[in-house]
Amino acid sequence: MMLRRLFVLLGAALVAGILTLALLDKVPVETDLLAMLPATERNPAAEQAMAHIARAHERRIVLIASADDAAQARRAASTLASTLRASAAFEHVTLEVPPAALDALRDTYLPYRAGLLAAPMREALALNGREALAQALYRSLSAPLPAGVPLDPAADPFGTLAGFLAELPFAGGRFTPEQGMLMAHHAGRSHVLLSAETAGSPHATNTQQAVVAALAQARSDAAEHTPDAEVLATGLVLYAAAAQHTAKHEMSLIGGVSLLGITLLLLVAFRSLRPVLLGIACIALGVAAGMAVVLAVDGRLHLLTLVCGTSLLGIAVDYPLHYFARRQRAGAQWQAEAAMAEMRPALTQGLLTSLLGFAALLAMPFPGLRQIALFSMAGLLTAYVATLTLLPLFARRPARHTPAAARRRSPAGPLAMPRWRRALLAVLVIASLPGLARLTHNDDVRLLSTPDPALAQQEAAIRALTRLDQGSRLFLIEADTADAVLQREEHLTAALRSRAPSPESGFTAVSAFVPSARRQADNRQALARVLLDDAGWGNALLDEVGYRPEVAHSLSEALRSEATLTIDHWLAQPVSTPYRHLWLGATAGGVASVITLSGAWPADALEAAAQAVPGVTLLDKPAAVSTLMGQYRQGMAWALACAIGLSLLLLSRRHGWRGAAATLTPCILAVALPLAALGMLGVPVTLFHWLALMLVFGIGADYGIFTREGGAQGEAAFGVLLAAITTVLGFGLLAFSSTPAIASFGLTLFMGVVTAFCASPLARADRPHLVPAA
Amino acid sequence: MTRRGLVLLALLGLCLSLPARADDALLAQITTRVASSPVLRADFSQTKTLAAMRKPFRIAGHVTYARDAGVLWQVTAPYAVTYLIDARGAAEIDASGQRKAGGGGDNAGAAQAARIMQALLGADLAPLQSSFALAPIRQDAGWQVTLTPHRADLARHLARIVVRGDTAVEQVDILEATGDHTEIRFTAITHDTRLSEAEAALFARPE
Repeated sequence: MMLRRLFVLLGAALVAGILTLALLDKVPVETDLLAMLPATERNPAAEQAMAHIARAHERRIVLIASADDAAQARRAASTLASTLRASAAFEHVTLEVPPAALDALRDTYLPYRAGLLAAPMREALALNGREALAQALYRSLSAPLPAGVPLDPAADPFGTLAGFLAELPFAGGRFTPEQGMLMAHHAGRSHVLLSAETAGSPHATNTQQAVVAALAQARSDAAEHTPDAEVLATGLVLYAAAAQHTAKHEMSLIGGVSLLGITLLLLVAFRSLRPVLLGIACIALGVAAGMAVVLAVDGRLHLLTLVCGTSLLGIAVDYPLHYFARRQRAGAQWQAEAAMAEMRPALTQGLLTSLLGFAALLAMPFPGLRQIALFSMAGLLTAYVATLTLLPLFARRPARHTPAAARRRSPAGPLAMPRWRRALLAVLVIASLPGLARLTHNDDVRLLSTPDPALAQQEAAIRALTRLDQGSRLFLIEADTADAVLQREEHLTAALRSRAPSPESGFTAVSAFVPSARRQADNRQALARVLLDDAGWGNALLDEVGYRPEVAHSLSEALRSEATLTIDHWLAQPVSTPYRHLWLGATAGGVASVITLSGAWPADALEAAAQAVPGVTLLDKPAAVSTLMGQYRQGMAWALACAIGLSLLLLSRRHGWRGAAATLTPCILAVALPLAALGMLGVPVTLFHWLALMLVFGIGADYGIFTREGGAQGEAAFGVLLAAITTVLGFGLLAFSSTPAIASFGLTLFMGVVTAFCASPLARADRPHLVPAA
Repeated sequence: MTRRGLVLLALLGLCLSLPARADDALLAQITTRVASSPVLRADFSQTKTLAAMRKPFRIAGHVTYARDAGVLWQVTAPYAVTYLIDARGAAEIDASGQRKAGGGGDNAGAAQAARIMQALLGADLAPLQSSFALAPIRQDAGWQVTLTPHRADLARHLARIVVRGDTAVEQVDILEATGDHTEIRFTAITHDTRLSEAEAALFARPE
């Protein structure tokens, strides 16, 4: 009867475990740690702009084929393009530039030529109009090479339109159309630019897998046909795929090793398979419940939640552990129901303090922390209920292997606290105080992710050649009308131009493609003032050079007409396709656009430029996130202090004030000593250290409670020892993660748990406690 | 088509390819002849005949061609301006040899045009075969090569280029698709083995 029930349970646990593992591959795991953070902007238009640009960026993938020989680079690029086109993972693979592309550009701007001037020309015209235009006229006739965009000299005798077109901030940077492809020649090598978009969302696992496979195929095809060519690629999807891969690899390795360790430990301790299987069943149920709740609430599971989930193994297993430790000790006098009844207060108190800690996290407006809290609370609650209900059911009979280890150890045990040990602990506490005073902080956003070095290298190489813009920092420009937006953009770009730290520091603004109506009118006026003055200077100059009268006539006509290039007209032209995302158009507060940045820009230059123009907001995601992390780090510290205070209150009802203080001593030490160690070592404390301390608090409180409830002679020591070892197995291994956030999380937990374990005897009641088991 | 027809067609193709080989030999001869001096200096006179103009527009100046460095194009009349043309494109340089911004720059196909220009002045024409059909002939004491673009993007704007010369290129004619015509004549050509220090300093423009 008993046996059959056990098998049913084991079957269910097995199925749950397999389902969990299978789901892990299907579950959308969010690896972008920035996604864990709340909205950084108070302004809804700013948040919308950020999301808009992120959407425009996230599917893009940029490739460059390079070789010493131009023909080789072109062949490699063609091979890449055909393989990528054949794959379902990509769409809009762009390599060829249609021969008519430059004509389309010319045709878009030619009708408005009188109002279009490049910045240097506009300045020269203001300083010395006649000289500037005479120079421009002769230069355009004497230049040894043709202009990039072929223009009829009759339509642009002063080369002003050619100058305007040459200044357009094309995303290609050094790349220009050559033999139908975008090519650049730099440092003795020829490069060909390709771009593509992922067919699916770059956050979806199947998209990532398909993209990585197609790219590998394309690379190997290119290597086969053109062995000397080099292929560089960058795109959010590649980083996401690499992060996902690393994360899952680490999770399965760390999770696997810790599970194996826990299993072995329990086997050795109890010399029976039953506690092992039941312990694992409790963990599996907890993790499954946590996952289910998170998926039901948020729809996706975050990497960091998964990490905490793995480590939940370490806490959830404590509940069954204490039960089995007690059974072991009791030997033949074991009575399941009575024992459980006796244990229940300790279990409940332990659960409540843990839940209290996590509830503090839940209260914060921080989606990432909320998810972790949700996961942990659901998981712990489930493990608690499972321990309470399942264990007395399946482990009724006394332990077969009697108590050798457990009994021998428990009375004096390794945890008995001789005087010298207390003294040592006191010395340690005093010695650590200066460490607490030396604590430093670090809220740098880069802690959140360590991009794959190979990918980062390729991205840097591509950025050096192209004008790839940064998606994380941009300007939002708002005004009442479209033309006012363009005017503000013009003021901002002038401010930026004067503050640019290097020629590589660029920006992309719609107003470079479509000057404001006012700017176009000003330009027409400035040209007309010089060319169409009373003396007819412009006409005379054109005649002197040899131009037919029609040229001067058509130019005067153009200057007198009010033909103005409008944003709506430009948006409807094919040439605007790559830049349309910069124009947000009508918003709740009026009209808005964004200006993206490329190359290096110091933050203070950007802030100064933003402050110089009204209606401009600098959206700096990394800086905003760093500020937020700092705020939450402080919030966590307060939450922890509150949780300790509340626990003291809670425990004082049962143990009195002194007893409550003693019970919480291990847990307070476990929080304070790792902090002191970090201070001593000069390691800056981050949000993730505090996150770990939050868990340490829950664990330390558990140890204190079990020790106190276990009796004056340290009867619970065996259970606490096992719990500490399993927790260290679950968490300590996280210190080896390659993500700095997770590694510092693991290390802090390790230090905290070891401290809590060593200090747990401090929680013991000095005399046998009077409160009878409920 | 019959089998005999195919054979005939193949033979025809073979015959057509024979002169091409002769052309290659002649092109190689021309290149060798001009390449014997690594540095050439000359005066140039450029005449643009544009549909939009009622009279040709002339400019004159001095050119220095260095096989390994590029071309220094100094316009002296009617307006003084100096350009430096190398593998990266054309850049305007001021009196002190500093590169000026916005002088045509490295963008918009300038590098490609610069390579064509250098190949023309050095008569190193074989590399241009990927873009042009080359028709060389012997002429008087010297030679003449007609370059007809076979790439669509070039042919849209360029009808043909004719290069004429002997131990150096003496004349380049650029005929645009619109009918506009640019003629460049080189006179007072001198051969040298190396650049003067002042010239070398101008060529060494920073990256």
